[in-house]
Amino acid sequence: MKIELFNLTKINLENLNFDFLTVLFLSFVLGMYLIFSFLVYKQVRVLNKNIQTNTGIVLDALSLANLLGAVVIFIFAVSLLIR
Amino acid sequence: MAGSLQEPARFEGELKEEKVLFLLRPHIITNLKWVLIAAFLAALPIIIPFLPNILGFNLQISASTSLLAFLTWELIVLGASFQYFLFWYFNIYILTNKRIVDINFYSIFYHKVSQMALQNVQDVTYSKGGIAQNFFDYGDVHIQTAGTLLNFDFLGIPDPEGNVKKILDLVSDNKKAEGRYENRTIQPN
Repeated sequence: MKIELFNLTKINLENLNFDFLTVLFLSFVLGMYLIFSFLVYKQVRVLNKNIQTNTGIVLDALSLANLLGAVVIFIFAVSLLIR
Repeated sequence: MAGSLQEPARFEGELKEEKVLFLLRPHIITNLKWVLIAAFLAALPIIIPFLPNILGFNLQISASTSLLAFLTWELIVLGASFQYFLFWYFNIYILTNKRIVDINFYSIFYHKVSQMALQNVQDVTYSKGGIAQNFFDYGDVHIQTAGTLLNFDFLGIPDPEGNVKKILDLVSDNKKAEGRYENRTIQPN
């Protein structure tokens, strides 16, 4: 009896959903970026504590906006994944 | 944009009797390289959608996925640009009436603060080379200290000649003040 192992491991590329894979990949990238933007937010707060200037408030706001933007786009990506 | 106290500033470790006199940053033109690269990368999504058609294959991606890809790309470019801005903004040189403080922001996880008392300053020189530095009037200031102490290099600061003069005036004033204090202590009763 001949066991055709090759057929068991063969992947059918024609049925692969490229759109889904793209969203999956972007979701992963956004997840990494979310962690990065959170670290940037914390770091800006530490640096503003080290050097106190009037524009520190603006930098805090910008880093927070960056973090919130990353959260919103990540949620959008996840919603595309689960639809 | 000569070095000056353009905004009120305080830093961690500042002493009670200490007064911040100058706050120097590298010249804004030193940011031009990353600004241009960021602008090019931000504009890239305008070109890329046409590439598959030019190369002869059709990507089956929905409009929402395209939008997500576009937003992700722009977010990453903005995030990287913000990082480079922070590198420039927090790389500062602070001159007080007591010391010189050099704050270097190397990466998100690493920044270094160096300090030197004004009385340890031995020599202050500046260098300005190339078309860009001469046209925009920025350069490097090198502060040499006594003995085995670290030397300071202020890179890319505006009006290096003027700032060297200000630093030398500060050092001179500090030494005169120290001299007056020493004279008082050695006077006989």
